[in-house]
Amino acid sequence: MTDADEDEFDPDEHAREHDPEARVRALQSLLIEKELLSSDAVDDVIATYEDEIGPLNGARVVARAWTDDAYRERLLEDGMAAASEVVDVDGDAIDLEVVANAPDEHHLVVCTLCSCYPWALLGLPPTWYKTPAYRSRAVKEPRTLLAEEFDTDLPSDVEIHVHDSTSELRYMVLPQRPPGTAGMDEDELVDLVSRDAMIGVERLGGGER
Amino acid sequence: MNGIHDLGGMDGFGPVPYDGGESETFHERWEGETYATFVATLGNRFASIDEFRHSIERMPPDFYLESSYYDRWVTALTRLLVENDAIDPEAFAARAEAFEAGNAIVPEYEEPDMLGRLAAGVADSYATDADEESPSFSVGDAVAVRNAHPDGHTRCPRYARRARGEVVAHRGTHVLPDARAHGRDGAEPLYQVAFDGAELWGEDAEPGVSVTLDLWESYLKPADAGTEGER
Repeated sequence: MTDADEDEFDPDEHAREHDPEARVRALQSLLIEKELLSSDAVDDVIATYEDEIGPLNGARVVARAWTDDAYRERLLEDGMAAASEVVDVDGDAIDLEVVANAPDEHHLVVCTLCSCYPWALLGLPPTWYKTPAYRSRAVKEPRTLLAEEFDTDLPSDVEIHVHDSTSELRYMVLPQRPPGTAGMDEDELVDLVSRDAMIGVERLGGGER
Repeated sequence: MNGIHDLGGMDGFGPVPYDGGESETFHERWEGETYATFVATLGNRFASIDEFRHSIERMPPDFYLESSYYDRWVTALTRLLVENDAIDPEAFAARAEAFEAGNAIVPEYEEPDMLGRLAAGVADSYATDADEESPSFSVGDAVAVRNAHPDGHTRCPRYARRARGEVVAHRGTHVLPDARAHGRDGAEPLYQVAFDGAELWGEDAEPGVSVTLDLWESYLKPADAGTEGER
């Protein structure tokens, strides 16, 4: 492509001048007119992310791992295959590595280059996860970031492992099972698993496993 | 490219706008429509995921920072759809103005099989499978990240360059984003490499921190190779 081919159209300059809502509706309209997109596909995509795929998927996987040691091993070995045993997700949707917190280890997930995220298990990434503030600091000063921005104060003897998602392999944190939950069944445990604990900005549990 | 998107380790972006852990949704309808347009762009094979990421990276730095997340997507998709002749830029510009003026509506067109077809194309655009290449590095090897500054797309963050780390896993052979972002074929062994915080951030680094990255073979060299003769 040369500039002459496109009559000097510059998408960045155009975008600076025009509202993104109007621009995406223009794209969408032209694609629909060419039958490269359909109205029902648009509605389905939105509904899928609003109603179907969300952090509840990940929470179910974590709760199962807390209650079934053999499952936990499978989950750490092959994340998506194990996840698809528990929730209705395609085991090939993403490559997933589950990283397990321990009394002296804490894992934190970031994508410094864009916004890579284990969406099949956690849904849409939260807005803050995609901001320059989070992406810039998570790799350089994770301890300070967790304390200042998320009220997650880690003892100095807990090592922090930051996973910068540079490939198509996506990371999810397996938090520790919180103390005082020995009598709870899997469904009750699901409610304790927060999205933020599976990203690693929150830490559940203390010394157990 | 050494773009503004490569944010790891930069300072000055201020506090994180943490919202208390609420589940994320599309904040406005057009954000979801943007996602659907992304699905259509990759699903119809106008671009790969790597070309899409690179299209975002090609935004001028000031505009990247001042745009919202989905606004960046719209700009990147516009670039790809124009460059691949999927849409005519004049028709696009005219239509965008019509929407801005409230003089247009999105046409209705139903096709129940559309989403399945698009989803298959999206999956292909993300696919990393490649014939297995024999890896040059093994788990436990000390490696150094090459000091390379390619003009095009790369998934090697700037903060890792020249740093020494240890291979902790071999991930098999994956399509090389640096190639696919520019329409070229290529695949290489992919490794998980762990770096000590002080190696990346110097003696004032926070203690007890490691960072792992997934890095393709051409990003790496043996740690004992030294820095002389660096390409």
